[in-house]
Amino acid sequence: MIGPELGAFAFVALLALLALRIPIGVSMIAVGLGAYLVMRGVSPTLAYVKNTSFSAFADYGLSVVPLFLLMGQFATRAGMSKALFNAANVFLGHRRGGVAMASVGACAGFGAICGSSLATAATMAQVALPEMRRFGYSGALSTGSLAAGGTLGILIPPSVVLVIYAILTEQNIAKMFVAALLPGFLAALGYVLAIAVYVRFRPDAGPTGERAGAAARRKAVAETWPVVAIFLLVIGGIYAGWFTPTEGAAVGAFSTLLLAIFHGGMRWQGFVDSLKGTAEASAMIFLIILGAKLFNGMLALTQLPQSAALFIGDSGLAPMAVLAVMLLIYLLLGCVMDSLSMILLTVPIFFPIVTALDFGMTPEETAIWFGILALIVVEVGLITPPVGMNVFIINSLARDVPMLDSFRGVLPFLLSDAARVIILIVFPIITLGLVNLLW
Amino acid sequence: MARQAPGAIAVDPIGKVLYRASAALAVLGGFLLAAIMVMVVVSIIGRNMAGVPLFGWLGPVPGDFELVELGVAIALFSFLPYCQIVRGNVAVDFFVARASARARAWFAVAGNLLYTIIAALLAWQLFNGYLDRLGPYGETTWILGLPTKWGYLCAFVATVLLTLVCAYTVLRSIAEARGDGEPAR
Repeated sequence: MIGPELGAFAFVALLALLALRIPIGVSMIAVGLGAYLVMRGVSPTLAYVKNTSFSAFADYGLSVVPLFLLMGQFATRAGMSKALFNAANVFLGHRRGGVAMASVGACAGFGAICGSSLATAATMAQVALPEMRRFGYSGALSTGSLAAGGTLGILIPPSVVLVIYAILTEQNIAKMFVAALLPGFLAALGYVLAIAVYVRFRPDAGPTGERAGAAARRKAVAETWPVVAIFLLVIGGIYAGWFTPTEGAAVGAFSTLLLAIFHGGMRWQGFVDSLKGTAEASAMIFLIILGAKLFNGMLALTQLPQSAALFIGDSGLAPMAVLAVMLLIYLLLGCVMDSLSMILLTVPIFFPIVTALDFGMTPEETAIWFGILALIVVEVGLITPPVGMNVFIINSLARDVPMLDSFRGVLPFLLSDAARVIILIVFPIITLGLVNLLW
Repeated sequence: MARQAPGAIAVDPIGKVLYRASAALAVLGGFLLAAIMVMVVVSIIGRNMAGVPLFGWLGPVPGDFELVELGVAIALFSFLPYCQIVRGNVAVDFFVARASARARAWFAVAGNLLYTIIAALLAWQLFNGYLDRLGPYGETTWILGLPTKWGYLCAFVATVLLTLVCAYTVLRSIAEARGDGEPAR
């Protein structure tokens, strides 16, 4: 058995291992090497391990990932969450549901210096959760808005998953980041609207907070300047070509380190803990990356991705129908799997298919547009049952709120997500407009 | 992330030693990553100062790209044992979520066993990669002429520890499967 059949069989074997709770990276390595062994024999397989393992980690493009993770670790210790929350709260707090809206806004702000959803949700919850409870917000609304707000961390650049997508599909990281800006802003806006609608039906879930004067507003906004400065430096610098994405991540990590020391009061122990946190997150991601390299290398040999792209390209299916099926698969997978593994696993199959279809755009535009859509849909998995990691982490911080309430609280935000995905599909210009304007 | 009590990671002397070794190696790799971060920042500043009067003697760090590649690779390999011993590797929990804590521990035995075999394979082949690069004509980096065998040697050392850690986690999950099952995360 060789060729696409073996590729398809490998996929089934992989899903079986995953279902048995074998770690994702381990499953991909095992199946990748197993199928390679069937195709090529023992010594080529050993050579495959030798030539792929070190080079998978010694890759300049991928070195941006641990540096962004380090930046995120410092960001959680930078003590900026309070300032970000205040800056959003002075404008929104006096509205009905306003403190929850402010939490979403603060998550968006934190997402600008942190590329991970879980870290964003957990960090902002420490400040925003007590505030919402103080004003008598319902458990469902407080945990729901934070779990949903956390997903902004990965949508708003810098974003680790977006970087990996860009590297996998050989897209320009700066363009991907710029493309994510408007959809990210739209996401925050959509969540705020979702809260506004929700409290119209459930007025007692989100009472009004305090109103702030003009002076207090100016002061609160001014206090967030380091976050704004770091975001502009990193994203602007990468865009302007002052430095490569890796260098931008190093600059971002370094300036966030300074912020953590001088504003967050981080000391030696906090620094060592940041390194350990980075070590754990990086190792987790790179074991999956190594697995994806070995698995996808094997898959390319079986010709499965090319055959699938040809088959679907010739089938005469409407491009939009194919896209809808793919996004649906992401949605289903997202219920049980983490976003990064999904991207690494599916993009080698989906990407050739998508670029073979005609959406009336250039191949590059299609690649960017699909990347943003996929990113949004895989992130929805973080807040859907049964394995909504963001919901779990917020719920573990709000011990008095039942898990069921938290998942109920997420519902309005899911509707907002669905609406946004449809808008972005119908109007690709929202994603691509800024990219076309700037390049 | 939810941190585990140290007892859930290692209670026996061997486990404690492996945990300390993994954590020490991870922090060492973290320092390397932080050093690379500083080097890159210095290189960017130097690059931009090169044309400024009085600072003309400054410039980018020579070979900064290859230093990043080699350094980050070594750091990443040094992170692997720590992630495994603190149960940091992600898996799909959904399909066995309803199984008992003991049954889940048996699935963990299978996963850890598979990872042990892979880790040993990695260590073996990284050592072979090191041997390939020995000798006066061994592969070196482009600008600085650093022998890449060092990278392979460091990666080999890290994967040897990874193999030991993985083997330990097999025993740890067998003990959990026979005892009270896997501790909740």
